[in-house]
This record gives sequence, C-alpha cells and structure tokens, in this order.
Amino acid sequence: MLDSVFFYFFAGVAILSAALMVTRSNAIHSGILLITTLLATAGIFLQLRADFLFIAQIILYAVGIMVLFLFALVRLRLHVSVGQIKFSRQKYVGSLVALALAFQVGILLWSSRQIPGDGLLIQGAAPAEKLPPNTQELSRILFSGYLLPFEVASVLLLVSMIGAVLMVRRRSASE
Amino acid sequence: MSDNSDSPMDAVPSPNLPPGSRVSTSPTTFLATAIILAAAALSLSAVAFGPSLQLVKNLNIGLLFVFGISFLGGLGLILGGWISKTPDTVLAALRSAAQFVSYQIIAGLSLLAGFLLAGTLNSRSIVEAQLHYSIWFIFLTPVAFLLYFAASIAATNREVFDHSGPEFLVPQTFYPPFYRRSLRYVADIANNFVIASVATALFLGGWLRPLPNVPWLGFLDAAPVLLFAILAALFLRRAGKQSKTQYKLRVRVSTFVCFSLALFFAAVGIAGHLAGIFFLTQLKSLQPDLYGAFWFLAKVVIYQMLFTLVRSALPRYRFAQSMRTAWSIFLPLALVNLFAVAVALALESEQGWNRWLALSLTTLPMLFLALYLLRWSDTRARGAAVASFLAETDPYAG
Repeated sequence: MLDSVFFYFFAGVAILSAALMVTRSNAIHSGILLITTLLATAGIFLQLRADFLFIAQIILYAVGIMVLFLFALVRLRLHVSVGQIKFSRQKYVGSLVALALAFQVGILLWSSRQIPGDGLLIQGAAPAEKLPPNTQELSRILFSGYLLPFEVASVLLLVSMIGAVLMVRRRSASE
Repeated sequence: MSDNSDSPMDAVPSPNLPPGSRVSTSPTTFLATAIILAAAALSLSAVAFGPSLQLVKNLNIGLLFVFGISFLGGLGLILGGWISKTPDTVLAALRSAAQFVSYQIIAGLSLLAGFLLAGTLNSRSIVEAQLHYSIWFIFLTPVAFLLYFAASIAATNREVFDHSGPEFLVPQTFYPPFYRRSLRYVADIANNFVIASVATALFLGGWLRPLPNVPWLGFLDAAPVLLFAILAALFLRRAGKQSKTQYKLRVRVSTFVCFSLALFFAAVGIAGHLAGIFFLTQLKSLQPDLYGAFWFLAKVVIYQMLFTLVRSALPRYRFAQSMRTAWSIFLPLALVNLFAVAVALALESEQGWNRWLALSLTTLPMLFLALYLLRWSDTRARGAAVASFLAETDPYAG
C-alpha cells in the first residue's frame, strides 16, 4: 500500500515536471524541472529498493551533470536565445521519435500481458525485503555477465571526454 | 545607499543592489535555503554515531548516501545565485558551485580509496572493519585522508581556497541571498558537520576510542568522565569571578550540566562492573552508544578545529588557483592513490602479501611518479607559455 503511494507520487512528479520541462520557454526553469524529474526517478529507484541506483542517480545526474548544465545556462545567457526558438522547428522528426517510443512501450505492455501472473516480465521476483544487498549484487552482475557492455560503455565515455577536450583545445587555439 | 557611502560596495559598479538585499523572502529563496538545509539534515540521518546510534539503520549504501545527499546542496547554491539577479552574486554563486563540484569529485575519489579498504559502504560496517583490522584507515591511506581534508575545506568554501567572492567586496555581498540570514550560518555549520562526520567514520575510526584493541589503554574509557569533571571544576572556579549575577547564574548552570554529564558517564561506565542492582543493569546497555557518541563527536570537533587552524594559518587561494589545484594536481593524485590502493589490495588477496607492505610499496612509488610527472608537465607548460609570450612580443622585432 505504502509502496504504491510512493510510486504514484514519484511517478506523478516525474511526469508532471517532464511535461513542464519541455513546454517552458525559459531554459533555467527547464533545467530545474529536469532536476526535479531526475530526483523523482531517483525516488522511484529507492521505492524499488535499488539504493545504489538511487544514490548514483542523485550524484551523477541530479547534481554532477545538472550543476554543470545549469552553470553553462546561467553563464551563456541561453535563456535569452532559447526563449526565442519556436517549438515547431522539428515537428516531423519529433513526432517520428514519439511514435517510435510509443510503439516500443506498446510492445512491452503487450508482451507483458502474454505472460501469466501479475504483469511482471520477471517470473517469481523476490519480495523487496528479501533481496540480497543491492550494491554487491549490482557489482557482481556488472563485472561478470555484463563485463563487455560495461567496458564498451566506459570506453565510449572516455572517447567522448577526449573528444570534448580536443574540441575545446582546437577552438581556443584558433582564437 | 546614502548612509554608507564609504563602504567597499561603492568601489565597484553594482547598480542593481539595493541595501539589505541579502535577505530575501521570496518563495524561490526559501526553496534554495530549504534545499541546502534539507541536504545537510538528510545526510546526517545515515551517520552511525555509535554501534546502534543511527537513524536509518542498515542502509546498504551508507556513507555514499551521506556524501551524495550532501552533494545536493550545490543545487541550492546555484539556485540562490540565479534568483538574486545581481551580477556579483550570480558570479559568486557560479564560482562557489563550480568549486563545490570540482572538490566534491576529489573528495569522492579519496573516499573511494577508503571504501575499497573497508570493502563496504555501510557506515556501521566501515567502523567495524577498522576495529577488525585494529587500525584507522587514516594510517593505511594517509594520502586519501589529506586529499579529502583539502577538498572538504574547498568544498565548504573555507578561506584557504577561495571564499567564493572577489577580493574587493565585503563578504556580505557575495553570498547568495538566504531566506533568513541566520540560516546561512546554520547551513554552513551543518555542512561542515556532515563533512567532518564522513571523515570521522571512514578515516578516523568512527565511534572507536583510540587504539581499541590495546587492553592496557583501557583507561582511555575514563576520558569522558575526566573531561566533564575537569570542565565542571573549571566552571566552578570561574563562577566566583563573574561580575554580574546573570553571568554567575550562567556559569553555575554550565557547572551543573558538566557535573551531571560526568556523573552520568561514570554511572553508565561502571554499570557493567556492578551487576545485580536493577537500574544499573538497564544503564549498561547504553554504554557502547554513549561512549561511542562521545568519541565520535570528539573526533568531529577535532576535525573542525583542524579546519579552523588550517584556514587561519595559510594564505587564501584565488579562484583560478584553487580550480587549477583541483583539476591538475589533486585529481591526478586522487586517481593515482585509488589505483595504488586497488593494486595493494589485489596483491594482498591474490599473492598473500602483508597489507602494510603492499600499501606502502604501491602508494609511495606511484605518488612519487605522479608528482614527478605533474612537475614535468608544469615546467613544460610554463616553458610553452614563455615561448608563446616571446613569439608574440619579439624583443628584437624592430
């Protein structure tokens, strides 16, 4: 009971602030609403007893990335220029992406209906109180079954980091 | 602004700053203040002050929760700066947020070295690991502790690293506005307390008394009783020398409080040895928590005193200097130290090396190598800067 109350509260906050985020014209307001969405998602992680994901979400997304993002927004005075952009610029691409996403969610919902039980994709999931410690379990999975995707993702991050440094250096050298 | 025309404020053009603008009662200011305070208060809930003196027990992510939630305060800083709308405050808030994030990354990396040693994130198990290895982690990774100490000074915008404002402004002008002025100090103190408790739990042995595994040092358990008894005696002596009855009363109340605290600690302490009497056996269960909380708070206080000492002993870094220190010296050192600790732990578990030997054998060469490389890149960068300067302003050009 309490679980579903928390879930619907956080889900409602997340959806509401996400919708507000894409409709605001002030970029700073959007940024703060995005933080709210990310924090509400962290709340859902906590409600699912995924404490490590919860704190990773807060440290990485809600603070680490968003503070830098807001930093850039405040610094660059983007709220002046972004406010002038009309919303209909990418109408067709946007609707295509939205349709594709709706299709995926539809497939997921349809396939979950095919499985008998209470609609979960995983059969016989353990109750939340009897789960093994979240952090240990996550690291065991990451470094055994999913080692290759994990390493590939970290190499991807490294490449993008080096790319960012290179771009900044080239720009400052040309100036 | 007519009444304080000779204040430093007038030295800089900041036209939009009305007098007394540091206290704002708008809802957004309230939100910014609330975020900073809530982050500090929430993160304290997972700190273990004693073996069972913890608000949120058995939290799997433990100290990471404390650290991560205190991270949220950075949002409040930016929000506060943004709503203030005056150029000085916006800039100051951006500086302080940028410094906060940079140094929190270094603090996080140095905490990771401690987490590796403990093998857990749970704040209770971390202290128990230090009891198990019978050594505080500060002695196993002193580099990580020093990095954390420096980073925490900078992250709380203490004065060795930039106090987040330009030099020519009085400190009052560059803080983001707060809902209540006093709340700023509350937030400051609460943040310091959180940072000191993380260091205490991870590096300084948490609630353990110094050298808990040495039996002949058991007399250290009498320290709280002695401390409060001495304090009570000092207050008693001062009480006669006060000029006003009001002060006298105040000092007498302090004497009474210290004396009763000493009595309470003594009663709880000897309760274990006097079994049989009814209420003393009840007190016995209090003993680990009470003495644990005493040692924990004592360590936090000592950490804070070190903060103040360092702050007043060293000159202040400019913003650019402190950011440069963070990204090009502290960050590489923290990464190298983390790697060294990981290698040492691998040597210990795979090759069966002695933990001390492995740690000192990996940490020392890596640190020397890192410092040498940093110095080398520094000289090279300086040489390049001099070369480009010479190329631009050729002294023999004409």
